[in-house]
Amino acid sequence: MSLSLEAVSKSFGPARAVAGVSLAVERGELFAVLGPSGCGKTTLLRLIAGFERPDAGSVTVGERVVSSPGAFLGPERRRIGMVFQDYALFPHLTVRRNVAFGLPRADRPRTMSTLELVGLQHKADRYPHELSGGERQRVALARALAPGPAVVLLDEPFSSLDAALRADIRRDVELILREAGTTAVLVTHDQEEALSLADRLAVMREGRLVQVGAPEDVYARPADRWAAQFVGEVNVIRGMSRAGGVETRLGTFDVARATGLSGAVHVAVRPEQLDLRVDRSGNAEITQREFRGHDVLYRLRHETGGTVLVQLPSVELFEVGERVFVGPRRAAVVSLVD
Amino acid sequence: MSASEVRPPVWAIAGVVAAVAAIPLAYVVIRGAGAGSETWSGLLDERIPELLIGTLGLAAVVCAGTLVLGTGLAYLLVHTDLPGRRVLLALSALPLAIPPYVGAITYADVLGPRGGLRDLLGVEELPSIFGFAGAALVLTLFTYPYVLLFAAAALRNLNPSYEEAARGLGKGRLAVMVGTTARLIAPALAGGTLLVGLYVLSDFGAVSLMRFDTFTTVIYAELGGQFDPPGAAALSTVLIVLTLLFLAAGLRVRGGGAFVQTDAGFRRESVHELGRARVPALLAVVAVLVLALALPLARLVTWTVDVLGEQDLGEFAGWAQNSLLVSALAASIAVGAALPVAIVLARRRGGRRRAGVLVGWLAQAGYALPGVIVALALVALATRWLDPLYNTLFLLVAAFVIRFLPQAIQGQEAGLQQIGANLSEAARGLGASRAGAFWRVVVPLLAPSALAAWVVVFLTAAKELPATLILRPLGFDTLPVRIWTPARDGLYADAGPAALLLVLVAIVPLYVLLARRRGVVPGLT
Repeated sequence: MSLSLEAVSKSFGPARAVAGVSLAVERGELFAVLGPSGCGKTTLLRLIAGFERPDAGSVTVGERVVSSPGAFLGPERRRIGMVFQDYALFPHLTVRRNVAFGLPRADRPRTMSTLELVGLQHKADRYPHELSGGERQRVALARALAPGPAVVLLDEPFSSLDAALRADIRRDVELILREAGTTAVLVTHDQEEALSLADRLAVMREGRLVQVGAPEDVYARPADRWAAQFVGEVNVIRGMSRAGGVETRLGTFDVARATGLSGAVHVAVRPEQLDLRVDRSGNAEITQREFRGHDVLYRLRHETGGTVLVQLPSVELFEVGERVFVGPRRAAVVSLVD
Repeated sequence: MSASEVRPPVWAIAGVVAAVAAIPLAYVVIRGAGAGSETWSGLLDERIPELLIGTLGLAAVVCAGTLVLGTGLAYLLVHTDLPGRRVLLALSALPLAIPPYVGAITYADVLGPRGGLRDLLGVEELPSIFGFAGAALVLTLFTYPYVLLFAAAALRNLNPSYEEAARGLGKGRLAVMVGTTARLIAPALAGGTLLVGLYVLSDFGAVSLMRFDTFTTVIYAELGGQFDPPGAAALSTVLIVLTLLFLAAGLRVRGGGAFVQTDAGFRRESVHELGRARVPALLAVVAVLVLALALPLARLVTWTVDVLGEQDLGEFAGWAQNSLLVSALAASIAVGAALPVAIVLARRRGGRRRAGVLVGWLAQAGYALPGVIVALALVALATRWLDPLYNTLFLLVAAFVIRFLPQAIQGQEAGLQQIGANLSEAARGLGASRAGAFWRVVVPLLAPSALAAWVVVFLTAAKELPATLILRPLGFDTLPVRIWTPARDGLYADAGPAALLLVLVAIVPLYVLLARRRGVVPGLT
């Protein structure tokens, strides 16, 4: 175990930023905390780093308890590497001296090898203001990695980058972290970022972890309606639970977890779990089409009045105003969200 | 507790600094309140109404004059295509290096009864320069740079899109100037003008030499010979209340009315073409520069040439050395004492916000204290309780520190605010201790601001007159003293060399500061 939190809480005045969070991150794992702004995820990160003192609970980094009701270790003694949202590079130091900041004096080889890891050895003598956003990001990462921390923490690491660069830089950062073999925790409000980058992720809301799991599980089997809606687009549909699945106005769906619930329930159906075909006497009409390149998102008006989202590959296109039949895609397994 | 919160020892030091800085203010107000109804009613019948009208009238006229001069120059030199405007802008700020009492000497001579203008015009007699008109003229000419610097900074930071949007919505150039530009920079103009007003309230030298009575001159006269006259304390209390009213108005305008402009990062220059107005505009700028810079400097130079042969150079060097000593001491102590206060102000948040605000207010009590009053309070305190300190350099340096602490605080607070708290956190995350993070990250980043604050306090202390006159140890002559003494007796030429040296010493660092910081020097304005 590389990092664990036990019932950690932190309030600012009356506001509970973090409420009883427990969490375990494995060695070498890339872990994401996903939540909307103000959900407490940055506070969680600062509690791990030691920039805030928890009101209750304990934090363990590596084998060492760094924070517990009786004891508190300052951030400088935690073996934590932090990458700040705005990078917080020291403006008066060159790239080389930024990276060397956390190293014993004259550990030049380590400085250079870390700069090579992030591919910036040729910029060693530049100052932060002379670098592009992506380069600053990599310097911040190198600076955090150089002392060989037990855990690297990344606070919204991609939010200050241009959208066009973000995907590339995300890939770079993932490769660097994997190559360094570090345990990393990143917090973000961008679900795409969390889903594509993390080995596991936690969904956070109002100071609590709503769900923890692999990206595919969290996406396909959201723990509740809020998590379903926050992590991607979703149709929440009312239905009746029966032996063969959940019967809804869109047809019968297989349900992931046998919960023993019966009667009226809600299921979370992802737009790509539905299928369309043109049908003059179908049950819905296309009201809007959002072309996204590789796929298309359709917005339908169902004959019972509700709106239904359907996502299909863009190989075949339907027109706005067409009458269609909408139903479950084959093998669609959905989850109950009551 | 958060890692970036201010530590208790820093709080404690800041608290002590604030308490010490507030002592003279508290003393004078308590003494004034206890001056007795006889003193008060005597003053209220005649002296106070008369002084209120004179002082406030002078402040109003000077504020209006500097507003016109400062804004006009800033507009022409920042916002139009006037040739040579960059150099002219830098020159236009330099009258700040001429203390108004030095300016007053040159004008008392040139426009005086035996002055150069009379000879030039070949008339028997000129209308007297002394009194209200002379005081207003001199104060306006040598304080307009406050408004100029504020206005120029505001105009430079003005996002041109606002004016373009107004033009696009069908407004003419004049309508945009009045309806949009002026409205957007109004908070800055008000801020600069109020600084001028505060200066007029505190000025002693220029009004004395122009023989116009304000609160400061009367307090100084009351003080003559006596150590703690109740009348002086009562008048000081009134002056402090006036100053606080000005300050409160200033804070209101600068805090409440400041517009937040969306930052577009890169700023395009927005330049208004003057066309045929170019020549008259250029002449107007040159005329101001002649009156506020060239003429006084030329007069000082000619005097110096005339009397330098008679001056004992060793003695002269001694005065300069004394000035250097007290100013450097005051600047160093003020910058050091200001740092904990600046830290508390820059990092205040959460539960101790109010305490931080209180510390900030008390530590900046010097703002509300004209030099005459600080000196009066310190003399009284020393003669009562700390007699060994009386007639020592300690009191003079203490007065400078208290008086100029606000400049030192503001300069460093602005510097600290640019150092994000997360830089210290980043350093700590990398294994640096609290002290290590401070030395390796905060200190190098703060150094330029601290140095600038040091220079500002040094320059202000070097030209300070009334506290120096009252508190200097016997025989301890500084440049301002050697300017004042002959000038008071009408021997203007004898004041020339010391005045010229004082101005030249100030001009160089001022020019460098203004050029490097693009006219924005916290604490200077």
